[in-house]
Parts: sequence; structure tokens; C-alpha cells
Amino acid sequence: MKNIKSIIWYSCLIAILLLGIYGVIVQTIEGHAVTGISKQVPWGIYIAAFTFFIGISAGSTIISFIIHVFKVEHLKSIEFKTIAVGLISLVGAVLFLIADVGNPIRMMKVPIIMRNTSSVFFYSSISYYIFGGLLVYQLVNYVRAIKNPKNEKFRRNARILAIILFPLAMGIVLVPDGALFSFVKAREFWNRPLLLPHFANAALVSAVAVMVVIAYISEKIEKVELLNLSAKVLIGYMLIFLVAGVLFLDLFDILVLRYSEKPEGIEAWKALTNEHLVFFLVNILGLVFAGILLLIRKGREFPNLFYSAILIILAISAYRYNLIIIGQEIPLFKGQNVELYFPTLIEIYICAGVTSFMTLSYHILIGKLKIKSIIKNNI
Amino acid sequence: MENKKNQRRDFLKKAGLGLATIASVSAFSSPLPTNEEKKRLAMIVDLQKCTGCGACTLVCKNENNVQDGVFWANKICKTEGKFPNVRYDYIPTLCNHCDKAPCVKVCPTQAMHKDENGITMHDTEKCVGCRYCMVACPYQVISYNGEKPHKRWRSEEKLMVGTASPKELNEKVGGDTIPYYNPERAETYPGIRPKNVVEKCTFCDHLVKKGEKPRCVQRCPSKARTFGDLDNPNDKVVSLLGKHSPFRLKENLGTEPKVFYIRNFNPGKYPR
Ligand code: SF4
Repeated sequence: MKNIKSIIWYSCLIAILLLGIYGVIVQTIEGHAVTGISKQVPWGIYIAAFTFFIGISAGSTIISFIIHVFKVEHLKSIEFKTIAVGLISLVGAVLFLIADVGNPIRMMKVPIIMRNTSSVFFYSSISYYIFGGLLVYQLVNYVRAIKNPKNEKFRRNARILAIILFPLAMGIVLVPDGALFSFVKAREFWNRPLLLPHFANAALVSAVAVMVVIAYISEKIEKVELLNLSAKVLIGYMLIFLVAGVLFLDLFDILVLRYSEKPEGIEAWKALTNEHLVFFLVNILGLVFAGILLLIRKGREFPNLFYSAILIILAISAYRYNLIIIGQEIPLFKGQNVELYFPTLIEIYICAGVTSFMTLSYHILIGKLKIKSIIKNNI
Repeated sequence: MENKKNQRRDFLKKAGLGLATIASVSAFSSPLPTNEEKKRLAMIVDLQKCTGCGACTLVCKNENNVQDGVFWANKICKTEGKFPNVRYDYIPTLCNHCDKAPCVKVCPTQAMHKDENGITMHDTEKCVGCRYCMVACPYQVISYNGEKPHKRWRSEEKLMVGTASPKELNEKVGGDTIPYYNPERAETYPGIRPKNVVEKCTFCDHLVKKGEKPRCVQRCPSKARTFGDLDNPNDKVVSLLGKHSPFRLKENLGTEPKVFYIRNFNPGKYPR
């Protein structure tokens, strides 16, 4: 029975991955004309997905830092998964970036031979290399530490790396995700001082939510209890705190836009309450319901904790999408027409394909490297 | 003693002469332009002369082999009010070649760069197609080549039975992808820009280098455009800017655009 379930699961993942590959082939032959981008909206769903996954990558690394440095015993069991999720999300984010740019080979060379030190993009591209390299090293150390519990060296290395990765992760969230947008003076919707903390907070909350989803699936499907009751309660409180932070910043945004007298603010509010209303509602209501669910005592246990995590992931994805797209749809000049962006089927195929690729990679990393049994033994 | 002094004097003389020669030779052979050669090129659009005919857009497309759907010279227009009180505003736009160009600042590969005359140039070889410049440009004057340019002229499909297909027609006239291809454009920038890179107005740098004015300036039927050097006090652009009170688009962003507008009919109504 379990076998049939996993066959269906893997077949679905492979089918979606193939769809994504088909999308990539079509986009490579036809060019970006098959996407929904335009002169007014040059960045579409790929960039929105990029910000979401780079946020998860940084967020899960920060969780790993907290577990390591503050020695949070309750969460020790998810330590390895945070590193794995951090690495795979980073790879996924970079894949979205590759899908977005016209010449990915040249893009790879940006930090090496093409330097413009005044561009935020230059620094962020360097940080992906450094961050990715260190995450791989961290993963190797962690696996070695588990395999050789008597050898203190690997554990110490892992701890030092967790400390090094923390500021880098903050940088990765703040530099490309935040500064890439908030430094752009031309787009008033992005050029706001609170965008950076909003980004960082949203990244953290989505990373914790992803960890909850992984723990729940492990418990239900793999029959491995990654989080005991106290760990779930601890994570529940963490989520309440983070959700409240994001909601506060959302509320602040709403007030600023609702009562804005600037044309950009008025247009942004119009977009939020008309064309982007569904995403706006998913963002706000998703967080509100997740918060309410978490405040109930039973809400900090499975399955309610899992449901709130799903609501949070949906809410943050909607937030990222609205932020990236509305920021560009607002006309740059008064009187100019609003040009709406809709992702095309090809873009959706590619997004689904990359997500499926990430899920498969996670399975390979956990399963094929026999790490599952190592962790099981460790718990 | 006297002999030693003379020797020293001779040596200093020779050394001085040598240095002077080296300095003068290097000054002549220097690849960098001297201050006199450097210009700060700018354009002025007289809004009372501009009739909104769109000739600038057309000649620009012809001159620069600009593909379908892409406009280097463009316009912002809006209609306000209800009949009979209707107002139509028209403002021609193009790359502002800002002194503090945000596109140059954000481009990770330095594909967007400044030339010696302050023209914001683009290098298709370096461009990765990230479109950060498009996002950062407050004037929306950079376009992206999402597909192979001039696709329609590659088509083998005949529009009517008995006529030639665009591809056949192209081959007959010996056109390079498009029958009206202007080879002059390729002197300083690829004649036709490839797929997956951005492109924008270059102030017709290939003409400017020959001492000519940009094509939109030359061909404007109402002579609404003036082009010249802001650093030359005798240039017409300087006198026009002194005579009228010019404005620039989105001046508050501090990008220092070098396209100026003068004699607007309705101050405050134009998009700033
Ligand atoms: S699209 Fe090209 S020119 Fe524009 S920022 Fe990217 S690399 Fe630079």
C-alpha cells in the first residue's frame, strides 16, 4: 500500500517536472514572448517565486542558527532538515532566476568577470555562490557529525558554520529580496523603508511554516516523529509571534496605501482591492486565520499546526506575488494606462516544474543518502 | 667644479626636454578624449512646436532598425474631460540619457554604460537580459527583445495567393532580415539587436560621431527638437534653456535627465 502511494507520488512529481522541462524548451525556442511580461511589467511570476524561495532558504538557515547557538533541544530533530531545505530552496530560487533571465550562462559569470560594484544584483549574485557553498559544507559536516558521534570536530565545524551562515542569511534576505526592490526609486510601491523588515519577517515565518509541513508529512507518511509535543508548542508560539509581526507590517501598509494622496498610492490601493483582491485576501485572511488557529491550545498540535502552516505559506506567496507585480503595474506616469500582468501557461508549467524538482531533490537528499535512517536513530 | 655644474644643467635640460616630448606624445596618442572633446549632449523638445505627428517615432524605427512592438522614441498621451471640454495632452519621450542614470547604476554587468559624451549606451554582448535596468528606469524607455527580432520578415507564409512571402521579398531586395535595413546603424551598435537582451535610444550616436544630429531631430517636420552640448555656452540648447523655463520628467528622483521640455501649454498638467 505504502509502495503504491509512493509510486503515485513520485509519478506525479516526475510528470510535473516533465511539464516544466517542456515549458523551458518552448521558452528557449520562442523566447520570453511566451511569458506575460511586458515593457511595463518586466518581472513576472519567476521573480515572485524567486523571492519566496530565497526567503525560505534564508529563513531556514536562521532557524538552524537558533537551534545550534541557543541549543534548543526540542528542535534538534529538525536541524538537518533546516539545512537541507535551506540548500534546496536556494537552488530552486536560482533556477527561477535562470528561467527569468535571457542569458543564464552569461549571468553565471556576473560575480566573476562582470563587475558593477554599484549594482545590488552584483552583491546578491556573489552571496548565492558563497551561501550555497557554505550550505553544502554545512550539510557534509552535519552528516559526518551524525555518522561519527565521537568525533567532536564535525559538530564544532557545524556550529561555527551555523554562526557564519546567520549574517549571510540575513544578507541574502535583505540584499536581494529587499534591497533589490526597495532601492528602486522609480517604483514608489517598493521604495518604502519598511519593505526590508517586512521581507525578512515574511521569510522567517514562511521557513518555519515549511518546516512544520515537512515534520507533519514525515510523521504521517514516513512514520517518523520529528517534533515532540514540546517542540510543536514551541514552534506554535514562534509562529504566533512571527505572524503577528507580519500582520502588523501588513496593516501598516494597508493604512499607508488606503490614505495615500500620492497617485502611486491611490493606484496601488485600487489594484489591491480590484484586480489583485484575491491575492490580497489570501494574504491577510490567511495570516489572520492562521493566527487564530495558533492561539487555540489545540492549534499548536498536529494537525491544526499543519493547517496554519499551509495558510501561512499561501499567505506569504500571495504577499510576494502582489508586491512584485503591483509594484510594476502601477503606471509610471499619471494618465498612463494600467497594464495588467497575467502569468501564461508556460510560466506556470515552469514554476510547477521547478517546485517539483525541489521536492524530488529533497527526497533524494534525505532518502537516497540513507540520511533518513541516520536521523531516525538519532532521535 | 664649473664643469660639473654645466653637466648637471645639460642633464636637467635633456631630462626636461625628454619629459616634455613624452608628455606631448602621450597627449596626442591618448585614447581618452580631452576636456575639449568631451560633451554633455542634451535634447530640447519645444512642446508648442510639437504637433504630435509621430514622425520622430517612425524615423527612429527606420534609422535604428527597431523591431515590431519596440519604440525607442515614444510618447505619453492622455485625454481628459468630456465633450465639449476635452483636453488632449501629448509629450514625446525617449531615453533621457540621465547624468545619474539609474539603469547604469543597477546593471550588474556594466552593459549599460556612459560614453564620453554622456550618452547612455548599451552593450548587447555584456547584457544578460535580467531587465533590472527596465525596472529601475523611471521613464519606461527601455525595451526587451523577448523574441527573435523582425519575426514577421522571416515568415514564409504568403499573405495573399500569388504574392511573395515576406521572406522571399526580403531575399529579393537583398535585405538583411528586413528589406529597409539601415547598415549605418551597425557602425557603433549591432544593426539588429538579438533576442533576450534589452535595447533603447542611443541619441543616434553613430550619427553624432560624424557630427550629425540624431535622426528624430533632423526629420521633425515642425523643428520641435534641438540637440546640442550643454557644456558649450555658444550652443543653441544653452540659449534656449536660458530663454525659457524648462522642465524635465520626474526631476524629483534626482536622475538629472538630459531631455528638456520647454514652452508647455499647461504647466502642471504634464506628467512629471
Ligand atoms: S538587462 Fe542587460 S543592460 Fe539591463 S540591467 Fe540586465 S544586464 Fe544590464
